[in-house]
This record gives sequence, C-alpha cells and structure tokens, in this order.
Amino acid sequence: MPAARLLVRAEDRHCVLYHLSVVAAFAAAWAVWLNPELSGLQGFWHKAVFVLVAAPLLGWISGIDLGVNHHNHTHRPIFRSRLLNTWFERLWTPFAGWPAKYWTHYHVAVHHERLMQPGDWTVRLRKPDGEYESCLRYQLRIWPWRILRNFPAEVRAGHFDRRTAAVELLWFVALYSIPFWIDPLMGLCLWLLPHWCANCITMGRGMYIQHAGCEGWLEDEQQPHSSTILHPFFNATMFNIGLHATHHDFPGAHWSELPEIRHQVELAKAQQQPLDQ
Amino acid sequence: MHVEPPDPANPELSTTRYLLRSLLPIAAVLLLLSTFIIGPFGFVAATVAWWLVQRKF
Repeated sequence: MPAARLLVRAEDRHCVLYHLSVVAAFAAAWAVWLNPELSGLQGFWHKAVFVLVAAPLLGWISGIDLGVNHHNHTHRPIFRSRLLNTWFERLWTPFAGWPAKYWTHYHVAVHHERLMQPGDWTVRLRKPDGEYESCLRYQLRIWPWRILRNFPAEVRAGHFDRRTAAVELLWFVALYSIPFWIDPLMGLCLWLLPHWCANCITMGRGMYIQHAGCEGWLEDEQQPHSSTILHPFFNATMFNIGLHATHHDFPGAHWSELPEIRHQVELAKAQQQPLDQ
Repeated sequence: MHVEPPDPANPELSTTRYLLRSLLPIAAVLLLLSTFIIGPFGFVAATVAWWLVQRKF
C-alpha cells in the first residue's frame, strides 16, 4: 500500500488525514466567504456573525492540528522521507500561524529540554511581583508577542539555526500571504483571526493547564511535572495528549502507545509500593 | 506443530478510531459547508448546538 511505504507508522495516516481535514475546513470557510450570493453572506452583519463563530471553530481544530497532531510529528517524524517531512511541515504549520521548524524548536528545544526552568518561556512565567501569571494573561501574551520577542534571542544565542530560521520564515511568508492576496479582509477574518484563536485560546489554555501548578517538581522530583487528563473523549480526539506526564517521561514514544506505557508505569508503581512500605 | 495465533488487528487503524479522532475537523467542515444551505445564522445555531453536544461526551 503506498501510504504504508511513505509513513514510518501506519497509525500516522490519521495525522495526515487530520491535517487534510483542517485544510478542507479552511477551504470551506473561504468558499463561503468568496461566494456570498450562494452562502447568504451578504452585508456586514451576516459576515460579522459568520466570522465570530467560524474563527474560533477554525482555531479550535487548527490549534489541535498544530499543538497535538504536528506536535507528535516533532517528536516522531511521520514520513520516511526527509524531503517529504520538510515539505509537509511547510504546508502544515502555516495553518496555525507558524513557520515550519519554529514550532519544533519552541516545543522540543525550549519546552522539553528546559522544562519549567528559567529558559522555558513556553510555560507560564512569573510576574514582576513574583506571582505566577494567570491563564488569561498567559493566553494574551504568548502568540505572537512572546514568540516574536524570544525567537530572535534563540537565534542570536545559537540555539536555533540562523539559516533554518531565514529559509523557513521565507516559505512561511510566501504561503501565509496567499489568503491576503485573494481577499485581504478574508485573510484577516478567516486566516489570521482563527490563528489567534488557535494559539491563544486552544493551545494557550492547553499549554497552561498542562504544567501550571507543577513548578514544585523543580525542587522535588517526587511531585508531578505535568497534569494528566484521563477523559476518554478528550484523548480519543486529541491523540492521547491528555497523558501528558507520560509523554514528558517518554517523549520519543509514539502517541498511539501512550495509554499502554502509562498502564505499564502505573502497574510498576503499584507493584513497587508494597516493597516500599 | 505449534502455530502462533495471528496478531489482533491494530485498533488504532480502525475506521471507528479514525472517525472519532477526526470528529472535530470533520464536524467543522460539515458545519462550514452547511452555511450554503442554512445561511450564516443557521451556521451559528448549528455550531453552538454542536459545541453544547460535544461538551457532554
């Protein structure tokens, strides 16, 4: 089967199909916008009402597409071919407002490698008064402001390759501008605004709750470093991302294996407990 | 002669798992396309209804 030859794991066809579904959703929204005589999107109020609901709807799925689906790919690239991975990424991350490779650096090099340490600017930060920032404050500051402020520093420090940063930014600008060329207002309402929703509402809130309150782990490794969500529907629709503590303990594990790994870890803990007592 | 039983089918590859995992983007596509039939206010009503329904899962 051709897909099996292209993909490292057969399960990852779901990753490809999920992303293509997100692309189809944006195409559907643009078709509605560009055909007002057929969709009834005539006049300011019709458009405003449509955008007010379509933007968070698109942000919801594109946030998952990047923060969960593409996230899995950053740890375990889905294609066998390096070239295919590179080009699929270039057509993947712009659908959530990111250049390819930038999110990979943001997540793997900044978040995983510096987990909640001072260099991890992907999680909630302390305010000048020493208190941790609220979820709302974090959500409003993370994209694009904190990203724009920190990426140049990452490049200057040599943590993120300068050439990669330049090349991927160039491809991103070329691709990201397409909806604006078609219709600038559509670009704002059904491309940029959904990406704000994806990053600040969907991913921002998700990222916050995954680690907020777990900072004590830096002092005491017996404490959890991540929260775990066991809700079946959540994990069924989110590539098991609820098992976030397991993911951080085994970042190279495939998303489809997380429930079994967690089960084995819990089993081992349960067997260890009587020995400790 | 001992014959190993065949491996059970990988449940992750089932159509059910795929449809469940892709439920949110598939629903989004259908809701957005429904605007052509029910108009923008119908789209809003259908999306709010979908939001309330999926919260119960």
